[in-house]
Amino acid sequence: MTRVYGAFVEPLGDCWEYLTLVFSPLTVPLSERWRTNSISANFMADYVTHLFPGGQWPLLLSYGLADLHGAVNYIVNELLENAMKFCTPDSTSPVTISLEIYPEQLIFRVENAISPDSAERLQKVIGQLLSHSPQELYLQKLEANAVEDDPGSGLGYLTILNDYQAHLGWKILPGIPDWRVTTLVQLSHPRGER
Amino acid sequence: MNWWEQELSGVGYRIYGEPEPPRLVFEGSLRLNGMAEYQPLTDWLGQIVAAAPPQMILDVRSLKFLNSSGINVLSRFVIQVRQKGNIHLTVRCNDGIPWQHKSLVNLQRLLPTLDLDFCHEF
Repeated sequence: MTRVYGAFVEPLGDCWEYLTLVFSPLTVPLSERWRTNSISANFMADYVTHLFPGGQWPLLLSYGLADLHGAVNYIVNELLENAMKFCTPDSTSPVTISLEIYPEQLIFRVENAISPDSAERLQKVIGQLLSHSPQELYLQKLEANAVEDDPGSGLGYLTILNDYQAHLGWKILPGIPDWRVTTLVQLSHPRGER
Repeated sequence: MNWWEQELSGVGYRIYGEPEPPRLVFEGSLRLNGMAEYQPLTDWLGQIVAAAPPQMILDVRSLKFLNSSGINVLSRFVIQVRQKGNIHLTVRCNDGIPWQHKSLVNLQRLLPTLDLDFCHEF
């Protein structure tokens, strides 16, 4: 049964334009694609910030070019790093990232295969993220990471929530042999505007 | 080897030390894969905490990008400095690099005596 968490929404009717990148593990293993994440993140940030010349996009106007570019670059990079790290290693299905451009917001949508065990762990993380204040959880995590030697920092989603004031949502779809997870980030106007 | 005589570099980044004033300079974009790839930097920062210079500067004015694993490494260093208690830490930041506004303010929440020194032109 499909499970939906947080601010997840299906694509909306007023999507102006969108950009999708697809990474297939059949050509290069996803673990070896790490170095290309910066190219993808920079490209997506360049693309959306130059798509509407003349300042016709309300979201770009309220952020300013440098801040919107920085936010898109950071969020895409973190989402791709997570997808490459946690997708099922031997899966043949691709990792897909889409950037949906709306007048008043951007939606980032990443889809990848995930093992049932990883899906269980993800659901616990989601439960924590949705039941605490991002700043409180973020500082707790930093303090805990200072004394634990965990191979992952666990900060990707928390920095997106806390530092960029974005909203996160997930859709988890059980399957055989792999499950699919879609992670969604909604980036709206900076706090205090609009 | 003294901590300021070391250097770490890789594709797109360079980190080096300077003795006077004691500072660590970060340049480029740091997007290493997980804590394992950041281990040399983590070890280096641990060596600086052990050496306990009275004043220490992290100079990130030319660090254009830092991923969340890198943010974790800097935060861990700041917590170690707080625990050590005898190092005054300054982070030199660049007003023109957006991630620095967003993320570095959290370091002050971990260590209220930390100076965040934003320069407008660099």
